[in-house]
Amino acid sequence: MKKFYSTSYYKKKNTRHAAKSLTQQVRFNKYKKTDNRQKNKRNSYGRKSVKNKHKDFDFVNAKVPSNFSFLTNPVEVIKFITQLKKLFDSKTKVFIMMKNIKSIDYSAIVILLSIMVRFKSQRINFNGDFPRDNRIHQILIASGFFQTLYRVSIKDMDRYNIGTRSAIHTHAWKDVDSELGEKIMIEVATGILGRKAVYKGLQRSLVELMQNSFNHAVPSQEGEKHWWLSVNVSATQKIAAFSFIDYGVGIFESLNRKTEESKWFDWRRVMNLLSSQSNADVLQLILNGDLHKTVTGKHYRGKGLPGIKEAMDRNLISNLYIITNDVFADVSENKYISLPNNFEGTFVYFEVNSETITLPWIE
Amino acid sequence: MDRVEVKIARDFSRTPGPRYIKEGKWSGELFRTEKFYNIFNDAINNNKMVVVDLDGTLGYGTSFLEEIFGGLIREHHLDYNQILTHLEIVSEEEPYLKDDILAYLNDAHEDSLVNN
Repeated sequence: MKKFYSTSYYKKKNTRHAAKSLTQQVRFNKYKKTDNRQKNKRNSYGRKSVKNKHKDFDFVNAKVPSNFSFLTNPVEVIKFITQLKKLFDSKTKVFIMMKNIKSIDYSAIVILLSIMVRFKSQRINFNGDFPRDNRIHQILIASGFFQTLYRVSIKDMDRYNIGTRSAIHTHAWKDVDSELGEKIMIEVATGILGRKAVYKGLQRSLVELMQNSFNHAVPSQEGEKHWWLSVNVSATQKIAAFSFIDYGVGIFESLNRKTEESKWFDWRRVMNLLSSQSNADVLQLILNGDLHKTVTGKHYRGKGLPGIKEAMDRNLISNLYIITNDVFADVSENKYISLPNNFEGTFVYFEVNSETITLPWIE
Repeated sequence: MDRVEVKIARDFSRTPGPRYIKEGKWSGELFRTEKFYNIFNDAINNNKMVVVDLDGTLGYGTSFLEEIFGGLIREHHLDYNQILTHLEIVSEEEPYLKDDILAYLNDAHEDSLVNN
């Protein structure tokens, strides 16, 4: 056999066979390539989508205001919240552009976290870029924002706890949680005073706010919406900042929707309000207890929002701000301003500091 | 008159909560129905003084207080004057709460007169 394979006859035959086989293979490959192209060819839409696969981004961009503070830039922040609410309602994926944020405060943290959780709990994609400013980046890290953002999914729950106790901590629930006040009080007093202390005004304000959200955020549907509370304790500045928000209908819309059985039905007529009186004027009447007195014929006795203002007047809390519907109120400075746009919900900010009245802690 | 002391921080919670049970834990409705009404009713029937000590809690939402006192008239139909005769309020930490509570009782009494 060995002798046969080495003959010139066999070598010529084998060379011819290999050449023929290669030609056939090349011809078949060429045919198959053309055939595959025909079978898999893209139409114009397909070609465009491949070409623009990075440009044809199905997230909608939402630009975060460069001054991201509800307290100092309410108009732009309301625009941002309104845009995100529309996207949420239409279940549209959102990409928030944070790279140009120049300043941020703790009033913004609660907004960012609450909006993100609402999107993610409904499985609507929520993404964004990073702030260029490292200080702002660090604040967002401390708030637990990125940690929550990168979670694959967030269940739609009654209760959320985000962030670390040592920095910014955000709580959300639907019910009134009076026990939360104890945990927060220990955290705050230890941070500011270096010991446990009782802040009566803090507890009253938190319970009143939670109860308001439970009962009035959505008229006729109690406990429907979450309230969100972000707490930031600055041990160096000796200040604790509280930002409370619900995305209900807001104070004025809630009053306007009162039914005939309520004492507050037709409250504007009862108050004999002039058409020139804005909601900003009315919020002042509410906080001073005048609206309650006129409509019900009774003193407000510390109830609701006037009770929170009363706590501020007694130095049990400080720096009270309220934003609801088209009103911005810097209550401590007695400034009540009408806004050009409407915030669907109620936002309340206040602080306690080293000057706030406290009582000794009893175990 | 014998005295019965009710200290909310000790006998119920250091963190009194909302008005109604459906709104959250440690509600005024829970305290009134499970403890306060029985104590008060017993005190009225046996001519005792109920001393309600509000101190020692972390703070009150106003609805809690309105519910426990106003609710005695509204829900249990106790007599307004009898309540005043048998009630003593201790509130060293927040003295203004005494006036608030007397006003809640008065408002509930006036409402009960209108409704009846």
